[in-house]
Amino acid sequence: MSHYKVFPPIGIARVGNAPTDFYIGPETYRGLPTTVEGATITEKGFRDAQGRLCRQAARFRIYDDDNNEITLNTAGVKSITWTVHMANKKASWYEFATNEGERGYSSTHPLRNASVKGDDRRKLMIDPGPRTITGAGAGPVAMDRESVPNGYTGAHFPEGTLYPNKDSIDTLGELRTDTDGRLLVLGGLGVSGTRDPAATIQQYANNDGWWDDTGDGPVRAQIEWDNGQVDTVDAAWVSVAPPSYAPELANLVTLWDTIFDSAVRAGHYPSICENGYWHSGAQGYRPNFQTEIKPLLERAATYTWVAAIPPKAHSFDMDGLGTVPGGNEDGFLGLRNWILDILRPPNQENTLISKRGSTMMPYLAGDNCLKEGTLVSNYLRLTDTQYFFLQQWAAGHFVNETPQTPAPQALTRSVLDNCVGGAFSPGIELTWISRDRAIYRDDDPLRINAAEPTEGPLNLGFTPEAMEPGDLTRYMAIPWQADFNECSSQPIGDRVLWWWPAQRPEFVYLEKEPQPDNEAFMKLAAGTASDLPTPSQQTPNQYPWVGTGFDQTRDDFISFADDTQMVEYWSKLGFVMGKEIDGEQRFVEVARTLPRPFNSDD
Amino acid sequence: MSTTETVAAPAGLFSRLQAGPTRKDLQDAAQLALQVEFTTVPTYLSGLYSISDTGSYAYQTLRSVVMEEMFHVNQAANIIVALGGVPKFTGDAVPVFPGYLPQANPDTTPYLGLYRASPDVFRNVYEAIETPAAFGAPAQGDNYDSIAQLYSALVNAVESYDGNPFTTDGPGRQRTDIYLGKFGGNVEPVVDMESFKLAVQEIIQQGEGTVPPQAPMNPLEQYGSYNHYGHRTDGTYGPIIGTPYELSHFMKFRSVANSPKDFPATYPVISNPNQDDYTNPQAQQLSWVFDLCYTLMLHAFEKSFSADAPDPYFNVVLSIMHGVLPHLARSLMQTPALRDGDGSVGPNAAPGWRSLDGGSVSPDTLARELEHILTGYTGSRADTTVRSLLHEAHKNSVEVATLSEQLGLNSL
Repeated sequence: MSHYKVFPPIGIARVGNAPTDFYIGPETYRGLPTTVEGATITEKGFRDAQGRLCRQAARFRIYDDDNNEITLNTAGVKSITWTVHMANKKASWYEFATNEGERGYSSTHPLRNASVKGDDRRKLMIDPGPRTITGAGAGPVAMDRESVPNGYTGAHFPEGTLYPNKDSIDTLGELRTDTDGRLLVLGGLGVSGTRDPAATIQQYANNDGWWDDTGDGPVRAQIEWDNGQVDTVDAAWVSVAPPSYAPELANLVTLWDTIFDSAVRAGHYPSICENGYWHSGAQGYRPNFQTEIKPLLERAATYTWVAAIPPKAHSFDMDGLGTVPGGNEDGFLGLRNWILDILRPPNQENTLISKRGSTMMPYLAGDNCLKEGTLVSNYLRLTDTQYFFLQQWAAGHFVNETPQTPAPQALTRSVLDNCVGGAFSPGIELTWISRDRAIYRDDDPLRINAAEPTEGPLNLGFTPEAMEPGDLTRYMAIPWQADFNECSSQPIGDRVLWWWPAQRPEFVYLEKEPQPDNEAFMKLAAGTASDLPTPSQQTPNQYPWVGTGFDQTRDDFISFADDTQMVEYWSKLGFVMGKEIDGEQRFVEVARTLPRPFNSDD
Repeated sequence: MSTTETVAAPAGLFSRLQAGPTRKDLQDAAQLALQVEFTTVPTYLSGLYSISDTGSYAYQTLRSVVMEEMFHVNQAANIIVALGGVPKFTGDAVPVFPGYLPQANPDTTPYLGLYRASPDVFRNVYEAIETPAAFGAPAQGDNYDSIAQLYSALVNAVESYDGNPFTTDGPGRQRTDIYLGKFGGNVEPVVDMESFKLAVQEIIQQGEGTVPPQAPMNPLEQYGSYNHYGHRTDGTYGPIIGTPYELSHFMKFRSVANSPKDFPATYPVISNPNQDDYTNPQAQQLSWVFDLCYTLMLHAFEKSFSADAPDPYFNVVLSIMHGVLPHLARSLMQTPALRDGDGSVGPNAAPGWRSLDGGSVSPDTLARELEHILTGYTGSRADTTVRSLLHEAHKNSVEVATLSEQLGLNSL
């Protein structure tokens, strides 16, 4: 183990179709992205001058054992050299079939593009080979088909024109450095397509012949000191995901929660759970209201901005709920217990209505509500660790204090807290592979076991002790737009549940009401004769982010009727951003270039 | 036909309301409205707890109504406080069953009892309680035909009051924080004529659905948020705005009553139970403890609207409503009323919803009684369900007792 590590251990870049403009992904929890100069972006910052959607760079930093950041400005540092090797292995991997495969695939599990056999399957990977960058303000260093390093034998890109957009995948992104020599990784341009001009998408996760330009891989660094010494830094991982359309809203279960939970249960945090034994009760672990409880309540509250969810039931008296029972007083025990009782406990992933008759929360679809079988998991629940914290809190065993988290750990948590940690069907950034302890280092529970650098080609199998480029994102939907479009609402039994409202908005508020004399609005409100919504039955100003919102059985209910349309129009969708409107803070849709109502003939 | 004894409205209240009411008259009228709302709650809860499948449509529908009735109670209490009074839930204000709604017209309103749920109970009792006022129906004080007409009389009286009837420095405490969960409506503070009328409007619309479907309660919505979930006109279950007609309590009950073949299983409980008829000592004990628990809850609830008392809502009232009363109700309903009876066959006991006034009511007694009762359960397989319910009730009652003591509410 080195004395130097790259942070965050997992960083997330996001696609965009703007070729040059980009911003840096939020490095604070529920923060807005920033510019390279360090300014928080405004609503104008989501797009370039031509209205194209900017890419989100993942920034990586180096910290030493004492949590001091090492940059080019650090005394004694001569240079910092970064090496990134990203790949996209989606087309070469198994089909995604909910949670099947999490404990290893069976021999009956179908491969994607199964007609491609043997060594030809390596041609189902997109692999630009490794790239290196050094210095301050350097780059861009493209990870494209033109610049494959000499000697790298595994390079491959899809050939020819891809439909429906008649474009091609020529790059997985680029590397840059900021003014202090920190690494910026940009992902692909959001190009997805197939060689088949018909360009049909058959289902949400597996579409043979299709490609997209997401990817992932290790981020390595070396520090060269003035005295000639060279230190190798513990590698991190970068993964490329869809855009974050509501960056200031977090999911109830974040990627941090999921990875942290897997580490807790594996015994890496013995003050919480030791040898499988939870430290509960008055003498046990006391969660901090500010970092371990309040965020969960806030996430429930802010969902109401991006889904048709009643605000009353999701508004909480934080002062009361954060009051630590002391001495002779506990004025909120009943309310804390009431909240705990509403939440779906572990092992009740298929319970919607509790024995007392209440609808269990979250009202979100689970890991497997799509396939029958032994692994059915209809509804999302909190992680074991989240639930344990809430149990302790409800019982009154908690603290409420300002956290003192060291910078690198805070950065890690913030970056991952801005990502989805469930349901994994497959998900937005990463799926259930993220909670497989086998892929993480024993001595550093959030850091992935990176394989040694290779001259290629990459392998087709699963080597958790030596993870290769492409080994994280290959589980995700191909193309990502298919899952992103379809996973808006989910009928389960006689209910319609939501997927990831904070990452993939379902209903949004507008800055201003469309005027009733606006022809387009009237058309939307009137619908077709059989739908019979009247303007007053529509929510006065909450609107479907995509599609229509009045009939939950329609193909275009809060989605495009055809997944291919998401491939065409994803970059025109609006972002949800906090703004002060009429004297109060609201989260409203901004920077949308797609007309509303949407008409595919436009 | 006997009329209700549940409330003794001051003689001539409604003639005084018409003649030129004092503020006390207005408080009395609002208190009557509160008692009308509160009277429905035990009736509905008796039916609710008798349904064994909590996921069934009938259970979920009835639960949504009873929750919204609690919202009406809260909103009516805020009206009383705004008029300078303190809401009363104890003593004379406790509903007595069976009987009529307080001061209601016995010829046109239903006879309320504590019934085991059935399609007929949904139709003849629940639906009847929430019957909409006929279009243009006059305001009625005494002998009202529908709840809406009673509220009309209240609104008229408040409007005719000479001066500003609303005050913010009365002895009561308005509450907007105790109506929890996903159900429709928002408890709003009542401070002036406008907020008073909105409060009344929301209560009436939710109950009777006088609002036609094309005109939901937009003025009450905060920038139009979906405010609850229910069965939608597209045939699915999901988010709903306001209270369209089909989601009024009246129509919800009708939809259950109209599908008798889908009605879920119920426990074989006695309707309008009388503890004195039980020959099973466990049933007698449990019935008494239930009433003790209910009484405690009423006393604590009353205090939670009183500005000068420590606030027992979140640690006593809610804990009892959430963690003790439902378990006790379900225990009773699975306990044979007769010695050597069979709980699956019945007849089983049921909550009497009686207020134990006069004797000592302390949270500590509740906890101790429950502990004592638990020792009488031998651990036989037949007892398993009831024992685990009682165990949960006991655990929570101990918490309630501790917290009450901390508040200085050793006796309520």
